[in-house]
Amino acid sequence: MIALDAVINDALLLAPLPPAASRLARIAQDRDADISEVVTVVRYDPELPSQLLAYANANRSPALTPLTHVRDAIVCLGIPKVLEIAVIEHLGTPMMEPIPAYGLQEGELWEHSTAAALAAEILGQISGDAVPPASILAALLHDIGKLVLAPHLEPKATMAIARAVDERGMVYSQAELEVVGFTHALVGARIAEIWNLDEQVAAAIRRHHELDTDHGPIADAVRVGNLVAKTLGRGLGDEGLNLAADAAAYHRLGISRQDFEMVCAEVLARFHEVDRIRPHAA
Amino acid sequence: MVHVVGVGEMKTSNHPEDLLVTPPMGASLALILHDRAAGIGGILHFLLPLSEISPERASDNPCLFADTGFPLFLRAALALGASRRTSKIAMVGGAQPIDPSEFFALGRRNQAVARRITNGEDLPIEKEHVGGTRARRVRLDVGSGRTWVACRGEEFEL
Repeated sequence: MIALDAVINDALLLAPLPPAASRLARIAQDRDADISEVVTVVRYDPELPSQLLAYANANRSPALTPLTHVRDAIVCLGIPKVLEIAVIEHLGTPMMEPIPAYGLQEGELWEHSTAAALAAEILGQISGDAVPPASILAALLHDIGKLVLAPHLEPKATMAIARAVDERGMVYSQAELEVVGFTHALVGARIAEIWNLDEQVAAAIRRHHELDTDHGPIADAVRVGNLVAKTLGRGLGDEGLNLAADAAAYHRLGISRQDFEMVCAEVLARFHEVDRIRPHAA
Repeated sequence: MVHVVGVGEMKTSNHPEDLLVTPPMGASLALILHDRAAGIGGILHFLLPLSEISPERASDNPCLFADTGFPLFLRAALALGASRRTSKIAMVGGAQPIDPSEFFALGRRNQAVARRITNGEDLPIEKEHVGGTRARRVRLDVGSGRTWVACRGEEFEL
């Protein structure tokens, strides 16, 4: 077993979210947030205005005049997307690192996380009010615990997880819980709490492998986003598709099987959008 | 030359030095065609079984779906000189999550539709490594037709 406190101490060493991202996370909780407040926050960040303009223009028809004002870029992207870009700006480089303990190659955690966030964004477009905007941030960060927990996982621990999966047919996250004593989901939730993110975001990260219980629409959207990313082969790692799928989450969100397939297709078609902000590994 | 065949893509080749590879596959499925006599190989890597859910998307990207992708794939291979009589088909992928309700049976549906479509073209699948929950990658050597599957750190010949 690994001491949870030691892992959480490492989480404290992760650079805190920059002020702009923290304030955006609070603003994004409000569906009726004032865009002027977002503009004010973004303007005081040294990098964010140019990144938002670049992202918004990259996804804009070449026939249209390029945007030059950051307010226009924010209106074009929407507040949840602005928040996602702010968080990726901060966490992108560590998320690009390989995580051998989970069988993730360079860039795979980043691909998995951004694909899940894109799926949550598309789910919001399909389901409307059923999927809160905070789902995008929760989906983006749902596996952040792997980043912090991985250095504590000795080869004998990863082998014990693999044996529990292969020989006893355990679901990967249950095997992780048995071997480690807690899961990457719990560590991820602690990180969200340390960063003072919305408690529903932290709860969704914590619960993303817990099924058969209604933990709210953000948790449901994260589960769907996670499965969409895995279905597409983004960030499969050692876990692969060895996760319990939760049909009840789909029913609660009003998503049919056909909708699920269309979300997969849409994420695949739009992944080039997030690929434009793919950072380089350190 | 190495060609990566991403999800919703296909590649056919008559260059014996070519290697066709897929990225890690989840529920998507690779149909591998090889005609040793003609020296032609190809991979169709589709995501979804049937285009009826979105004819518009199938029109933009036929290789996203098995039913619109395979005819195109077969035509491309035949146009390069492959023969139905000597072509062999294999299939790899189609993993799926643990789901007793079968709500997410995408991997299994991909396999079933692939079998139906290839049988309909009188090109039955001769080798396969499908299902389960593990990620897989495929590598096809166009020159020899040898096909390898990588699955959780191990690679073996199909």
